[in-house]
Amino acid sequence: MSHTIDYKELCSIFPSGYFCSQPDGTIIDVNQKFLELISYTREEVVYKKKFTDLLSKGGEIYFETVYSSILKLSGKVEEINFDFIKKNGTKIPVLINSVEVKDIEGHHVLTYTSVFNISQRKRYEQELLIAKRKAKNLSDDLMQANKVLISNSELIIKQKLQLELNNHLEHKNRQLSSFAHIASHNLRAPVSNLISLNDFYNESSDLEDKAMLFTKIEIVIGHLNETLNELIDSVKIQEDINITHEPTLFKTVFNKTLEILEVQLLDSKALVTSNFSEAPKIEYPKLYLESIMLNLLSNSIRYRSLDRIPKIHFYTEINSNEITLIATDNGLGINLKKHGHRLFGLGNTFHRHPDSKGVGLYMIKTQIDVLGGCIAVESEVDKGTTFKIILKKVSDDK
Amino acid sequence: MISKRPLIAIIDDDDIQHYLLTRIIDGHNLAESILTFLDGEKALQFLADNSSTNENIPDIIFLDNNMPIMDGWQFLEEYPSLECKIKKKVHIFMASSSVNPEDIERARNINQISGYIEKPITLDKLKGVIDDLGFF
Repeated sequence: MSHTIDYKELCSIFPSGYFCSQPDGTIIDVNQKFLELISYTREEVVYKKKFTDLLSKGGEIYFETVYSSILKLSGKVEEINFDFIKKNGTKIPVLINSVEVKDIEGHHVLTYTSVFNISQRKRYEQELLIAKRKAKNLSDDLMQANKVLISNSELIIKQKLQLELNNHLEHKNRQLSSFAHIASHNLRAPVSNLISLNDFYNESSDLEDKAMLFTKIEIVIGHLNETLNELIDSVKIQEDINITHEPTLFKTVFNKTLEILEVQLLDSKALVTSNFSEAPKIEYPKLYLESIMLNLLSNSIRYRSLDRIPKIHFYTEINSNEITLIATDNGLGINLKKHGHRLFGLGNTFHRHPDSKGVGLYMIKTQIDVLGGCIAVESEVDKGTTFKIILKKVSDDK
Repeated sequence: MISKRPLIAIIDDDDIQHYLLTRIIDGHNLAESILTFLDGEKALQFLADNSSTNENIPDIIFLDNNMPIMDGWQFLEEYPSLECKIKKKVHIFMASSSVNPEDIERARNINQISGYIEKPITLDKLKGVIDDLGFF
């Protein structure tokens, strides 16, 4: 079955626009689709309008510089985008393909141009652009939010550091104030004694009296020297924050302590036991642990009750990740209600004992505090005393 | 006007203080006699034992605040329960080497304290206290 194609008909109803123009741009023929696109009538366009009449100023420039030169050069133009101005002044985006028609001598006589409406595509493009812009804005916002978050977290870290610094300063302050307090009590007294003794010494003309005053001066100088050394030791501890922590076995340190106190232990006939199985070792400055055990054990021996066989027990526990050393005895005990607040102060003693100097507990508290631990005491007069020392947290990396 | 010299007690854990004060007081005949105690508990015990014997109760007590066993503050906490048994006015002066304003303020707020003396206790300070109380 054959069918004759009516090209004129085809051209007229073809679903994209078409027009034919002379080399000067004058439009001499159009199809229906083209007229629909630009909303003009055939009469208003044919032989009335040039191609460039349908363009904006910007479009005209593009026509002259790009479109015409490509057409002249290669005889055709493909997919050039113009905005046509419709009769009502609105714009319609189109894509244009043109081809030159030449006569037998090669002169340009006509141009055929097909016009595709790309409003739909433009709209998509526009939407895509908007979506893209939105996405960009969103990502900008996110980046901004991220920046704020980062700077906030930096602020939080800074605040945390500040807090730590504050705590450290507060701690230092407390240390200083307690140091000043100690200095006032423990240094001023002997110094003023010295001054008074010296005055008497200078006033006295009796040689025997002078000699006696001098022995007293010597005693005070001795006290003063001792107190100064104790203060210096405690300052040393407080500066020792970076002291090395080494793996230390409780058993080893305890045995060494037993050796050091061998004579006192024999004298007291004390029954000393220990059990470090729950936490056999710790990362801790060995020197401090030795000092802690030595002070606790010698206190337990010194303040034993003479009414019963002294029993002393040292052991370790792990309570909520913290290694605790516990020393308990059945000795004289301390009235904590009376003395609790002064228990760990320097130069405070609570028993009339010739060796009491009030240094030991002060020293070990300083050592324990510096390493972030704490010491607690339970005691009942004539029943015994228990010291619990939280030494440090069990490190997580094991 | 009390025309006799006071009985003075010194409560201080520092025996050099005992010596110095005794020497000043004796040297200038400021007291009838002097009692010395090394801590608050011993002094309190003495006061309790002698509460009915007026002539043994000191007129003036110089009380150190920083002592072992029982310090000056604890002594002052325990003292009121004895006070009613003692038929004599006892003037207690807190003697301290502390320059801590808190200590001075704390002393001011205790009824039983007649005054706060900053150490060292000199002849002038002693005379001032004794004169103010109207002895001699």
